[in-house]
Amino acid sequence: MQGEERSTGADAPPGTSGRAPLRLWNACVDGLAALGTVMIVLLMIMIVADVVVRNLLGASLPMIAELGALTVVLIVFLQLGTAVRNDRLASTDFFLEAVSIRRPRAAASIRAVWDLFGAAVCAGIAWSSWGILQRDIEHREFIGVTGVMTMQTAPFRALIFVGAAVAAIQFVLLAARRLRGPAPGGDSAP
Amino acid sequence: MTGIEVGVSAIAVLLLLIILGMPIGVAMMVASFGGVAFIRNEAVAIRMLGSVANDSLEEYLFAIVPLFVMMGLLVTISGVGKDTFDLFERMLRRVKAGLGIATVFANAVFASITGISVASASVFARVAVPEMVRHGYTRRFSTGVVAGSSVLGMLIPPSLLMIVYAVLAEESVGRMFLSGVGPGILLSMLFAVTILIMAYWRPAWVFEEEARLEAVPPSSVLDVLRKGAPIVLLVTLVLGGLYGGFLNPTEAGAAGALGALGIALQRRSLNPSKFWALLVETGQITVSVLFLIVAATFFSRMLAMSGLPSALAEFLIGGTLGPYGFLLLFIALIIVMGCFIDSISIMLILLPIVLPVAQAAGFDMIWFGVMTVVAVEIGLLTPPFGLSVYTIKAASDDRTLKVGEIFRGSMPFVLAMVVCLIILTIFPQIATWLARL
Repeated sequence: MQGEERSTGADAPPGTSGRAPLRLWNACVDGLAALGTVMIVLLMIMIVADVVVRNLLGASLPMIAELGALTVVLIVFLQLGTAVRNDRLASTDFFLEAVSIRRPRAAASIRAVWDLFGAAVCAGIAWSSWGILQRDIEHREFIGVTGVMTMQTAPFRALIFVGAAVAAIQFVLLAARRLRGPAPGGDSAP
Repeated sequence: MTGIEVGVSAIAVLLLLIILGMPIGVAMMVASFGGVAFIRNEAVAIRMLGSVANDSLEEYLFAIVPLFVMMGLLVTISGVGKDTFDLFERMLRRVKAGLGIATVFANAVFASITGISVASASVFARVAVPEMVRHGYTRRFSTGVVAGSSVLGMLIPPSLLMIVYAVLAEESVGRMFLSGVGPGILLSMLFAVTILIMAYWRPAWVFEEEARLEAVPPSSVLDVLRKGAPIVLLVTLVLGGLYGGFLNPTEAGAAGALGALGIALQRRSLNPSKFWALLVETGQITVSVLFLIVAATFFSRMLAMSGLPSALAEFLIGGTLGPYGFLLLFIALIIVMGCFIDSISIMLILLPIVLPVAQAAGFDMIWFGVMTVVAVEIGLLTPPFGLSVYTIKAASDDRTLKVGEIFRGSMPFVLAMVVCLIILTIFPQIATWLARL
């Protein structure tokens, strides 16, 4: 139900990513996304296990609600990088489509500017998440109930920070790719 | 500048950026950041950005999004939609334009196990359209029926749009789901009536030639059981568990996803690489929905800080407009925005502004949610940006199929949806009765 008509769901962009550092970077971004993908399955298993245990033994598993909540945040930030690279963030297209018929370079430049805005927003998130991460480490923030089962929140915060930072860098790379020229095939898809 | 002026400017900037093609989530964050920076200062703005990103999604409830999306994608590939269509096709084989009505009812039933309209549209574009065309229906009508009835997917529970509304309006997801049942049945009936009216009064619109009534063998009891069982099972699991009090909405999503996985495995419609691709797709849909929710949370906090919504409530409700004038304006605005912006984004942009106004107008917030969802779904069918229509075009094997043809075919169903809105305004009980029981 998202706004992208040209969501191909295709993975690695063809051709342009020939150089080694970029390939390595893409592999890292995909790795993060794969971790997020695995977490969707874990989330399902975790919740079903909670339901089964509760209905059979009459007692809930500890921390499921808090852990589930943190997992959702992680799923989003771990996959944000690939979503950015595949242009999966909802946007309207009619203006840029109209521009790109007459002046494809201008449309690409506008898209690149928007990518830089995206980079700024994600960098802002990363920047202030860094502060939250340090606070969580200092205060030893945890979820769960003391004496039953607890878990530090710091690793989760760290992954949120990483996800936001990766998305920011990916936005910059996307802008660079758009400015270098339209992809073969004429479409603006990166 | 006063807070209210800042709020108004932020909305104007947001709309401009969206029109110019900036990703909607990014645009919402930029506009909100600017707004907060003007009302307070940059330091507050950046702190709010961080807390929104970290806290706004940290709710057990949001786990429901990936789970129901995964369930929808799983039933899509496991062929449950085709079986449902088969059953209704045989049941309605003696009715005029029976295949069209079968498509509507099959969609209504399929909607009760999927919460996303694109799933319905892509399944029935592959299943129902070729069958209808083979039986002598026009392509315009066949694709139009599929596009029109795909909106049932997000009205009949489970429904992604209802979840989004429940989150924004702080209503219970369970109640919002229930509120979609009555209107879903009403809309199915209206669609069926629309089809009959067209078949009798404008047969040229519906049939290419005299419909070929092929002798479809009546289905055996065993066949009905085999094809109907998975759906009955999933509905019982999800909605039964939810309203039987065994499961909360998130758990119902998890149980549904697992059940759908079981059905897909039993039917051998999955292999490891297909399953992985499906999970990746689930993740990407989840990200784009939840990223928007993060942005919208920031936006609504900024608006609350500006004091604009309460000022707007006073102005609109106290003024000459009145509650129903406001409602009319709101619905019209949604339909216009629906031509350009996708459903979830519309709700996330408008609801933070409008919910306080609706509350001040004394509306039942559950009913208001149903009205919002139906109006937003009209946008799935209107040009130039009707997502259901593009989904059908993408799913169809027929290369000569034109998008304009599908848009024209779905117009009668847009009218039926407007009629549905009018009926719901006159009889709000259709939406609220079950939910408030």
